Amino acid sequence: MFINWKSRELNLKIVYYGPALSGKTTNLQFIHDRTSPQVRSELVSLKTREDRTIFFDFLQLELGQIKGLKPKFHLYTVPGQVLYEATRKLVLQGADGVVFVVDSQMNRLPDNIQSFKALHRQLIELGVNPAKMPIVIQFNKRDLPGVAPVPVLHRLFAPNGTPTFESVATEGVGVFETLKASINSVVAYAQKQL
Amino acid sequence: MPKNNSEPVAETPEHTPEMATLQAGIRAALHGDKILARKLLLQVTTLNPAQEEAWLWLAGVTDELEEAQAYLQTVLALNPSNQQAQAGLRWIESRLDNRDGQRPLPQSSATVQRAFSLSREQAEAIDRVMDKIAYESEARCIILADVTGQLISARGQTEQMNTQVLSALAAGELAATHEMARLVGERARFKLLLHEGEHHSVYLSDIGEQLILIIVFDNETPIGLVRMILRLAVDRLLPLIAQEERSDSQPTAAQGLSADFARLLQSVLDSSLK
Repeated sequence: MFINWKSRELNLKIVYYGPALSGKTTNLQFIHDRTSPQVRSELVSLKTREDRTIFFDFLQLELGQIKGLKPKFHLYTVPGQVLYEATRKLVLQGADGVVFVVDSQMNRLPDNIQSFKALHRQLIELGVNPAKMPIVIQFNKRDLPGVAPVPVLHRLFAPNGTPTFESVATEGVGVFETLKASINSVVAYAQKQL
Repeated sequence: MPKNNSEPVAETPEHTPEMATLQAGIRAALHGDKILARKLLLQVTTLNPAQEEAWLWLAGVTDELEEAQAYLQTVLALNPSNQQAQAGLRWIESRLDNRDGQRPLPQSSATVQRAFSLSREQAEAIDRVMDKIAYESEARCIILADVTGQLISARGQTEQMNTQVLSALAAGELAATHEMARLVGERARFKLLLHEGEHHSVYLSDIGEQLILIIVFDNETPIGLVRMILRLAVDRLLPLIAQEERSDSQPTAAQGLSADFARLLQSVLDSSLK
């Protein structure tokens, strides 16, 4: 969180985290495509020729003026591929909230679990208590065959009542619901910090 | 009477391709060929992600504790009462506790303070110093950001530039460079990054522990001048940032973020959807 009381800007950073190919960039693309250019920046994607994120994607939402403050949300994705662990941690620095994007396909469960653990480990390494970090979980790719049942995913990723959303990010289903929930929890957390 | 070999075998559950691959995978595991076993077992889980036994055996043929743990959790997700998976998980967790307990916490390249705010007076003073440095150095623009890529101040000719995106990229690049320095065994950080183009050059540098400075020139610039700018920035900007924030300058801080703030935010977001 960064507040500039001269310009009255409240800056908050939300990081989309999750295993490779779970749909993090797709979330940002949909948000970019569906919001008016007045409130959003261009979508910056640093990716390989094969369209895989190599560093991060970045999108800024600037939501006018509310109660004398100008809230700005900086949305980042991390590269999901295993070899980019160091990069993920760099992007996670200074995050005010995390959206964890789960690939619901049954055969991707181990990748999801490993990524979820890595998220917790990296938060601790950055000096952040994962239990206090506002996290929202998105169960993505619900349209595919062979997806894990939602109660199973709940047990694995949200046993303590973390907000969860089912989504089909390629069609935009659940994308804004997830974003709004994340914004809510990030703002609630910012209120406590002030 | 023995069966004729050419007689087609009916696809009973025991004779599906999935079961044949599973059994081949288990045989490979029992013979100690972990690579083949892993390959076959992964084929099984692709064919049938609910194949509990394949996940269980996969846990047995991987050398990575975290990976084995994830496989066993998958077994338990499928069948919470699987006792082998429960016992395996307990064993792995004790091994992980031992290992992580002995391992020193990895060095973080930067532990970033989470909340950071500037009073009106601080922000104005920073802008004035930035204006002066930009003017004295004839830089096209100078941008101050924090190490997470958060833009703090951008002065000079910035109209055609998305300074927020530039800050995010610069922070990422500097962070990556620090990581590179660490990986090659360099104890100090690499201090300065330079990008020279035909018409523009861009310099990136840390300013203290938490801040970065981005300097853009329209032409080739002697490195000595850049070093002078950085010295000025350290001398003049760091004391301003380090000042205790004066709380009287934001009387409406908590009120601004009151209960209905999030609700108002959502309605703005809704109205901005196409």
